[in-house]
Amino acid sequence: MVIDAVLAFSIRQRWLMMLFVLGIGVLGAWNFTRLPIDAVPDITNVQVQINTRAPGYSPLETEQRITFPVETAMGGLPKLDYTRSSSRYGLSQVTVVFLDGTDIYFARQLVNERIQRVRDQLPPGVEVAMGPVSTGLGEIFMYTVEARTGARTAGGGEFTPSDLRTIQDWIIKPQLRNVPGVIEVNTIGGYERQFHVLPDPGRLMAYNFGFRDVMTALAANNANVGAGYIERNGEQYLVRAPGQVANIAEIQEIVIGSRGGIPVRIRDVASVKEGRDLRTGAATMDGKETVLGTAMLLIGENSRAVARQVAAKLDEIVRSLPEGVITRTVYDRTVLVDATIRTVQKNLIEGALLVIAVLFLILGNIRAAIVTACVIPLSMLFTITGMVETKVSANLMSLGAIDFGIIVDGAVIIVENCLRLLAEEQRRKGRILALNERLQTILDGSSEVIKPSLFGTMIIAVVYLPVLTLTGIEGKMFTPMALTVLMALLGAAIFSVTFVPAAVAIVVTGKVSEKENIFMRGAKQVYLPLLDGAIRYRHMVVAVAVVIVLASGVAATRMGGEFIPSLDEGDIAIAAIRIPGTSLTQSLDLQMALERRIKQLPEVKDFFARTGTAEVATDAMPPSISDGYVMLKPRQEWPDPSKPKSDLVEEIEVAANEIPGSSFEISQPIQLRVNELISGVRSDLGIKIFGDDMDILLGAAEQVRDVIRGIAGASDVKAEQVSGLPILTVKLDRQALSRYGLSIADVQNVVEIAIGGKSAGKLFEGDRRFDIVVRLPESLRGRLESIRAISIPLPSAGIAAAEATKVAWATPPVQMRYVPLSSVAAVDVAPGPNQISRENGKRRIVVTANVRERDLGSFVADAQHAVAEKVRLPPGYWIGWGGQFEQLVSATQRLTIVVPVALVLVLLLLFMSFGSVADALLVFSGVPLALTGGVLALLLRGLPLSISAGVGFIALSGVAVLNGMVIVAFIERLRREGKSVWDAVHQGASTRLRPVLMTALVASLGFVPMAIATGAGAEVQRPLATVVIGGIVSSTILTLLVLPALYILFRKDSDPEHYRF
Amino acid sequence: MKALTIIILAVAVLAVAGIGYRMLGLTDPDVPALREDHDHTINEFKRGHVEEDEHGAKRILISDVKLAAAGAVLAEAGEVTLSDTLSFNGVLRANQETVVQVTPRFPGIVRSIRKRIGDTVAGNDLLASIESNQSLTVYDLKAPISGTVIDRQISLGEYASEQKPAFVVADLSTIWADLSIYRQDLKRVRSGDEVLIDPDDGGADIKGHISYVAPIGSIDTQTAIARIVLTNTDGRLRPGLFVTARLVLTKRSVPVAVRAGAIQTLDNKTVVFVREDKDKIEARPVEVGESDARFVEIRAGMAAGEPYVAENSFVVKAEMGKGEGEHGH
Repeated sequence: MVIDAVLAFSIRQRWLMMLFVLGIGVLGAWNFTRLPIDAVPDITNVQVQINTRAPGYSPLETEQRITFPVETAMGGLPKLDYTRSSSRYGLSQVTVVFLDGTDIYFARQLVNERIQRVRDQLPPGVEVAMGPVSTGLGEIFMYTVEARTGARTAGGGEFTPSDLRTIQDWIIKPQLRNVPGVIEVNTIGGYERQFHVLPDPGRLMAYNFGFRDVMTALAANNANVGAGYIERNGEQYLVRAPGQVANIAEIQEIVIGSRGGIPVRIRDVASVKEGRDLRTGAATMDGKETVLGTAMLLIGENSRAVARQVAAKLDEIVRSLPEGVITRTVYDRTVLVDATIRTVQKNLIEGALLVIAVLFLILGNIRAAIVTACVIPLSMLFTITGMVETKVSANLMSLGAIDFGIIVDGAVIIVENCLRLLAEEQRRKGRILALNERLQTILDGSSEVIKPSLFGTMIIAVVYLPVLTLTGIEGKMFTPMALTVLMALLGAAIFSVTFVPAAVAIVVTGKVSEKENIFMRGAKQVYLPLLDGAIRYRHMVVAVAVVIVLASGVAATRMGGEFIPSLDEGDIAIAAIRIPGTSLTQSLDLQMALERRIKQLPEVKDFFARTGTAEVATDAMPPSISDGYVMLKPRQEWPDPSKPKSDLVEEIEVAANEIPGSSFEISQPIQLRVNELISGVRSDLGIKIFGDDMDILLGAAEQVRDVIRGIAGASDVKAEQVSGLPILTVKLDRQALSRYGLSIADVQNVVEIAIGGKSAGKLFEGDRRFDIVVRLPESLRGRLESIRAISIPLPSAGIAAAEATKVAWATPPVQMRYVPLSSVAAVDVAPGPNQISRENGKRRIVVTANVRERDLGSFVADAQHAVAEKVRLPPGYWIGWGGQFEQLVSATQRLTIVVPVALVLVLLLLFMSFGSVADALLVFSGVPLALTGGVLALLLRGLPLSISAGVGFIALSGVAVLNGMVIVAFIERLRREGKSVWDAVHQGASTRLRPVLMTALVASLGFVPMAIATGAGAEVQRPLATVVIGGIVSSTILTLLVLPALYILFRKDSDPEHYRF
Repeated sequence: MKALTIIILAVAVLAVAGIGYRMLGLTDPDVPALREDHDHTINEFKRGHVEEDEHGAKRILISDVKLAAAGAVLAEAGEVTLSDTLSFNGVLRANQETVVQVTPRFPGIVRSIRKRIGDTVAGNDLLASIESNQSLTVYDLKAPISGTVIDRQISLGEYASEQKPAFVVADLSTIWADLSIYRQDLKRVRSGDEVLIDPDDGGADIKGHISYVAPIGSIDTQTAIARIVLTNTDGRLRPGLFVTARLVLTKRSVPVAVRAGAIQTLDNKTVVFVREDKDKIEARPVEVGESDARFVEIRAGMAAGEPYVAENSFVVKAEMGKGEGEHGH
């Protein structure tokens, strides 16, 4: 057979084998340096964001002019999953989601092509940009730019927010962007420096100029021109005609025109000064405004390495900053990743040490124990190579399920058998074996158990297969986990047929004592009477076992559950949500009050927040929402270092609620970001109403909301808040305009310039460039009354009137030729749409609901029925159903098919191995027996039944079957040798006590560090480890006692002749 | 025996299936982690604390401490004198009652000129001598009033016509400021109102009173003129320049007024957040009257002496509306 040939070759060429193993080890070590390490798995979908800035556009205009064309253009892209969009003030964000597995660069290429096609249809002056190539885990490093107290600028003043922002934009950011792996540096906070030209409407009119003249003059007097070259006496002279303005004084000198031969300069009609932009977002920290930079990670890069490089680069940059300006790192992913690595490392090392200790204790042979334990690092390195190849990142989830106890099970069985045979052989010959004898014994020992060992490994692998079929978020979280376990198992299997026999052949040379050590003797002393008892009272034992299984099955259905585990990131994120229409300034005030309050908690180190949208709109938030990050001190600095985090979260929540005006959602930084990106409906049920008219949609949503509220089990039923943004509408009166001879555009132009301001070119300072903005002075645009009074210049009434104005003393009296805005337009404030969401090219509004004390499936059915019956929608409107229930349903459907299939596969493997249905079933009985222990352990520790625990049960099934196989195979062999059932069972059980105990102890002790761990990521590993430990303990006890009893009950009359071993 | 096998197998499969099914968290209705339990309990609490009475007025429980934490300030409604201003653009003109165009009585040749533009003249000062075409005698052109020569249309040796003023003499010690008053403001402008004129020369405002509001309007601009006569002894005001003017409206005392920062809009109603007993705050719909930059008259809805949220009142509105907002991404 192939396996035997491999075994023989490995033992014969044992040194070559060592070399091969060394090679694999080195490859693994090298790959370790390439392995992307992250704290948590990335569950972001493949998406491309298209952000279009449209300064001044209201949500309605944004949707009509920008979102719609862009979104429509994305229709029909290959591998497109769906599109969604949101249109807000000044920003259109279209998110194109592709099917999982689509190459992101391919997707971006496609999107870019379509953007090019649609660009002509967009209004002039809007900027279309794609979001950075990053994921939900992309925000790896955040820092603030601050001035030390008392620091002075070169000019002697204090550093203003604009100064700090300028330093960030033009000194720090360009350098950080060059760090490999950083795709974007996003900035929020402070003010962008601008140069403001503030014309006085009265003076403009006095000179008979309009705003347009000012804009034109600015545009025409601010450019450099290259004029080729001339040759002169063999030399080449380049010609340039610089005309850029360099400072405020030069802007002031720009000539708008001349009146009566006198040049009229900008300064004659306007004041020019440095000003601030109309910002869409701001950053705060510990109750003060700040400038916050965020380095974003390119997809697929190693977050830890990049975050470190960013930190190093930042240190370097700080030295070149103006005196007194410092940067402060407020969030560094390295911390979390390091903590995660430490947890995994600690668990793995402690597990490995425990495994070695157990092996030594039971085998009594330290060399053999070390050989077995060597399989642990080797299969780990093998796994790392596999992870790099399959692009699985190392994180808590992917590494969390690796129990090296389970993985070395196969090797343990081989080593144990080899040792047993070697000892027997030595005793039989009465001398130390010669080399060829030893090799032959090892070959015999290995090949005797290699099949059950490999089958056992295969069975464990098979039970992991259902996990691979999960899709969506669950798939992204758990598939890597299953993959790494499978790779580790594969590695262990390869090593147990190659490395293990070879190493045993090399290492186990001297006398192999067959004498059992104290531990095994003690175990036997306890076990044998129990075994006799179990066999004697077999009916009762089986009955008790059945009862226990049933009881734990019932207990399992009463346990609390958890769908996706949440990973503790160590820090806390607080999203503060205020009513739509809250101004940025008001939001900031509330946010800063919140920060000051939270900062009083002794555990809190820093609290910083982003309010509104940053420069790169990776997260398009309105100014009414703040995303806050609470950074905690290291635990040892807490007044009570053992305080559970949930208590702290509660305290924070209570403290936050002392600040009125906001509601809060508490989560964690990565979680928050990932949720923003995935942005699906996060409640159990989401009812999406699609249609055109916002009012009808709103009405329908309210109807649906009321219907759903009436269904038993509904809770938290909410209709999406889409309106409530106060909008000041300047309704132009066309008749009035025509009387004055004004066009709509004339007035719009003035309103636009007056209130929002309009860019009229740039001012260059070296690399730095700042907008020159024409806008009305603050005193004329700030209040509603002043807006009504904005003067609209009238078209000149002809030369006669123009001349009349020149003669100051002439009659009839001169009157200024302008009208206030209020005489040509009505200025009204009314709530308008706050945000317009679309999905797949249609406006939509969502009603969300959660379900309590009722099963989700029937609730959804009821809801669908009720909505269909009671809600009447006009033609062109329809309803879609979504939410978590979709995932639940799809995952359930998948697993209800795949789990039984996997169990049947296990049975099939067992049948292949034993050639007997009865034997296969007997061994399979270990599975429910094992599960009882798992359930019990969870109950004892008060842990919910999560997917993590579920994966534990899966691992457990494999180990339980392995145990049973070892015993049943041996019993069958004994029976084949002619022993009676009774004797075979007795002898078999007692002889195989050692390997069974060993595999069980190794597998369960290997998980002990994980089960008691408290570090980062422990919450994911704890349920898994708890289940495995509890289950293995129960399954071992039950295998050792119940299986013999069952065997005697059922196999009395069967004939073991068809045993194929 | 076979039967027992089947029973045990069935039990095993059931248990596996049961646990497998539970792992998905589906059968058990009270599976907390399927939803964001935590958040929603909070939201419920938040929503729960806004109550509505039969008139539709919303109330909320919010303590003074909490208000202070958010920077909201309480004040009592009371009597206030409103003084508001209106801004107008205007132009300076020479006082037309003291502008005299000096026209030669007979056409002729200008023989000598004594005064130039800008010269100050007294009444009867000699401006120029003209040789009449009719009598060929030289006659004097004299200043009819004292003032300043603001225009001269003749030069030496030139033919001076009786059709055209040769000099314009104006007494600039008083100047007119003509303000253009928009239609909608006309009813608020009265003769005698105090006006502050800013000549935009960096100097102090000049105080004056409206002496005349034009009974006719201008076709072009749909405005009417309000005129202030200003004294100009130092020559600071120059006709032809534009000025801005602030009109101080007649002061008016109102019995109940609140600070401008107290007015909010809630559900399309104008409300003031009135502090009731204990920690209650009511969103009281009110009818507002006149206002100035700082105060707003309350015509109905509030009595004098009632405490209300005067500054940062948006916080209360936000508190009432919170829980409705969502993290909309």
